[in-house]
Amino acid sequence: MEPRLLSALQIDLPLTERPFAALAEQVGLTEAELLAGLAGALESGEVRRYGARVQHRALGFTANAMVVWAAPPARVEEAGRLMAQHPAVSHCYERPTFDGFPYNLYTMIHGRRREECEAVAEELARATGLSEWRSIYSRREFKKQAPSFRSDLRSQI
Amino acid sequence: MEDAVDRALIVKLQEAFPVDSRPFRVLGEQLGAPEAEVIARIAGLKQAGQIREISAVFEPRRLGAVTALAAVEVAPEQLDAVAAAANAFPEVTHNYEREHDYNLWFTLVAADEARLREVFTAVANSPGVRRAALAPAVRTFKISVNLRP
Repeated sequence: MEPRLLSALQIDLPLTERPFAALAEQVGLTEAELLAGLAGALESGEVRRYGARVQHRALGFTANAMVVWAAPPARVEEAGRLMAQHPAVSHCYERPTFDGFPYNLYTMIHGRRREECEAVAEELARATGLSEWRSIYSRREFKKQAPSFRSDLRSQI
Repeated sequence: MEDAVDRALIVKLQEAFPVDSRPFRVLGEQLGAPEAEVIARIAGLKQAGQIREISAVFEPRRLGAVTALAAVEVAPEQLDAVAAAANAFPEVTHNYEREHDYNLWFTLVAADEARLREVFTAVANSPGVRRAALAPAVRTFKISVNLRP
């Protein structure tokens, strides 16, 4: 990605009438170049989305469950697709198992209370037929921040 | 306390931010509010801590970066120190204590595989770590963190 565009898109958007013009000026682009660059990056998929990053807890989503599933290899694809359709599931990944952890399918579920997360997990279990699973709740958030990308060293972090 | 307009605004700000010279005016037209009110409401939501910032969410792999989830089992009395050691790396983007024998879970976004391993190994070698594993995504079925208040 063009370095000035990459920088501008990581700056918190100013709350002014023409915020993209202000961002563009900070990095030495024109407003039109920045808007076209953002539209292009969204189109190409380099930018997944543009917008607000919210604070889950402040919005009332205090229960954060990582529900992990032991899915037989032949059923991962179907189960993953089914789980991804559920609106309460924000992330769904297949990952390798490791020492003492036989689970290979991960779903992140956000709820206002644990009971909400558990109800979603039960629904997913019924929908997929997977019976071996565990909800692992977060107790403390030590860090949550956007990764920072630098282009001067070719996507160096 | 947020009202119906704030709630609609939070959804729109996450899902359909206008790529437009006057984005707050466009949002105002959609919500039936003047541009100045939209700006004031967003400032209020940021003040209240509900919105952290407005920026791009990148697809790390498309920018050449590599990502993984790390699971670490730490002796409880060393947990805060190991969490702090992980937090010190800019490559660590999310870091949580979780209710499991593997009690520390963090995500990594690094420039390349070697750097990812370097950061993971540094944390895994911290005092109090009993075992640690790196679990990169093999397949991604969904990434969408839009929360509806």
